[in-house]
Amino acid sequence: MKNSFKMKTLKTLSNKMKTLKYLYISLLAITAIACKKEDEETAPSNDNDNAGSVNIMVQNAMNDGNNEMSDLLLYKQYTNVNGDFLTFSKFKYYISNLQLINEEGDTIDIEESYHLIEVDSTSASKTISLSNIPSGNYSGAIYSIGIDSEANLDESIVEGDLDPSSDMTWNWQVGYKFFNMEGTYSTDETTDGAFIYHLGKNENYRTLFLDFPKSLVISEDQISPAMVHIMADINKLFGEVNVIDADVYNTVKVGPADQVADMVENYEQGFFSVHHIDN
Amino acid sequence: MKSTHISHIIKLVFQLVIGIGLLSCQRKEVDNYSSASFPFDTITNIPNNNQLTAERIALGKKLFFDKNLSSNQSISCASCHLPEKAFTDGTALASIGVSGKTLDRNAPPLFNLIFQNDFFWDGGKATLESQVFGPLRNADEMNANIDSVVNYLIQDTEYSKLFQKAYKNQPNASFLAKAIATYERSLMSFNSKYDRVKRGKDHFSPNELSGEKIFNNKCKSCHTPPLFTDMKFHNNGLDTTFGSYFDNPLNGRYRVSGNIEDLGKYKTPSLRNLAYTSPYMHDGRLEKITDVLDHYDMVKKSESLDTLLTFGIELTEKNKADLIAFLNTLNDENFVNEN
Repeated sequence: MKNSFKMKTLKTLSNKMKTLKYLYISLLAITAIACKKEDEETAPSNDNDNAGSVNIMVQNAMNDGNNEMSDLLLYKQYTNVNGDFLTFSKFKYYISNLQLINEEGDTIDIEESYHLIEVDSTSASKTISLSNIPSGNYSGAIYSIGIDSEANLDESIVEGDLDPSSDMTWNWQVGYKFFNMEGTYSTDETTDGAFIYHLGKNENYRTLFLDFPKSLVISEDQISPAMVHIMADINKLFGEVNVIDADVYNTVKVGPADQVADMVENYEQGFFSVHHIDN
Repeated sequence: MKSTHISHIIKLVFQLVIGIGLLSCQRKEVDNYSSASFPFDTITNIPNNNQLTAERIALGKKLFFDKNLSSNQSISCASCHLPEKAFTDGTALASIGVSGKTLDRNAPPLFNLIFQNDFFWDGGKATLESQVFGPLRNADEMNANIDSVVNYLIQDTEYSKLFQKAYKNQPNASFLAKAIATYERSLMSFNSKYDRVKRGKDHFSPNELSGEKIFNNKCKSCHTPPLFTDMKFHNNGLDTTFGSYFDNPLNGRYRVSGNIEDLGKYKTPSLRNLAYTSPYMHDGRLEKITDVLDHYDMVKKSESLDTLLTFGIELTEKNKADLIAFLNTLNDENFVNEN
């Protein structure tokens, strides 16, 4: 009699514990559902006829071994502002949150706007194809260097070129490297140096404005996509404000803090310019 | 979870709602369980696009225990996070990962993560969703190729069904991470003797009471109840020197923040469930609680040593015994048995 009572009490106790656990999980679930905000609204898609497309081609260039502006390719030699010779084995960076500005001053958001600009041994350019852009005349663009904090704090946001399984994610940090540049260098002091520039972190995200020298016209009647050709002047990353001496700045990741700040100060001036627009 | 559990939940929820009037957006205290026992109203970090549901928890649990996620089909999350050890592995630094290399960090326990905003010992990952990709992809841990894992999940009819039920989507990297994160959020530990005492359902013994007094005097500022961690980063005097290059794992939070003041700092671990989570510290160097208390007799000095620990923590042998008695009240047997 006593034993079965004990068993019953124990079972009730164990059930009570299970109950407690489910109680709290339900509590969370029910308050979560009650407080459930609208899921992120998708930008109204302009699936009507008044839309067209545009290709944005980003061409990366840097002073070559003869100090002349040249396509930036992997495994070729370039000269930075300090006169150091750099050879890239990896060169990529993110731009994101593109917006086009029309002549009325309205901004058009572009969906899934996370773009990885990278070069390889044969191509220095990356083309971003945008479709379903509302017809109109556009006078400029807003773009950001790096990844916005929302996507940078949640690697399960997998949009555009965001890829949590790529070498653009950090191992110990959350989110993405904004710039991933690796390679070798030589200077008067060093014959076979190696450089690693992994720049990222929310506080280094920058939003910039790009002026179009003439209107970008997007129309549903266009025969082929319009084209915006952007030059990315990579010399600026190495000396627009702070001269990057490879002997001093060769391993710049999450730190040293002052070196990160210097390189950010260079890119936050902007290194894009519109070379030309084909309507 | 089977449908009986779901109807069980629905029944409970109904009772809860009627009994306490919860249908508002204010996270109210649950009257029967005083707010001193759990800070539910501090939970703000469940993403809108990944709320807790029974289906998501079940899917996450299945993934958590699935060895097929690793490249050699031999390691699951649970291989280093064993439920019976409050989701630790009883090892200082594991070497059972795919590469066989010894890791730099002790596997931390997994409970009450829902209150946290920084994951890993040095707090690098800001969300559980992001953290998942770390050990999953690391060559020294599960060495997974995410595309292969997603393929495996898509091919598996059971998983495909579960992802549909949980997220109305076929398996992909994003929902894989979300499901595992949801399971981890569901791991809650608050049914220890300490909790029962605070709810008025039990009493401390004289030694435990004495231990609590000592605890409040000497430990509480970092190991803050009821979570028993302040969720901040401290250098508690384990080392005098650190790594020679910037992102050396020996540097603690410095390699994450880039801030030199963070050299040698690690996240304050919770003191709950110590009976199951030995060995202790970020590298598992201290095996017993007595070792930890002895460590505080003579902390090692460095620039970033926490100011509260400048003189260590003075404890007599009786203090230590009482403190251990109190710490034992934080062990939640239900937690280790239920999962």
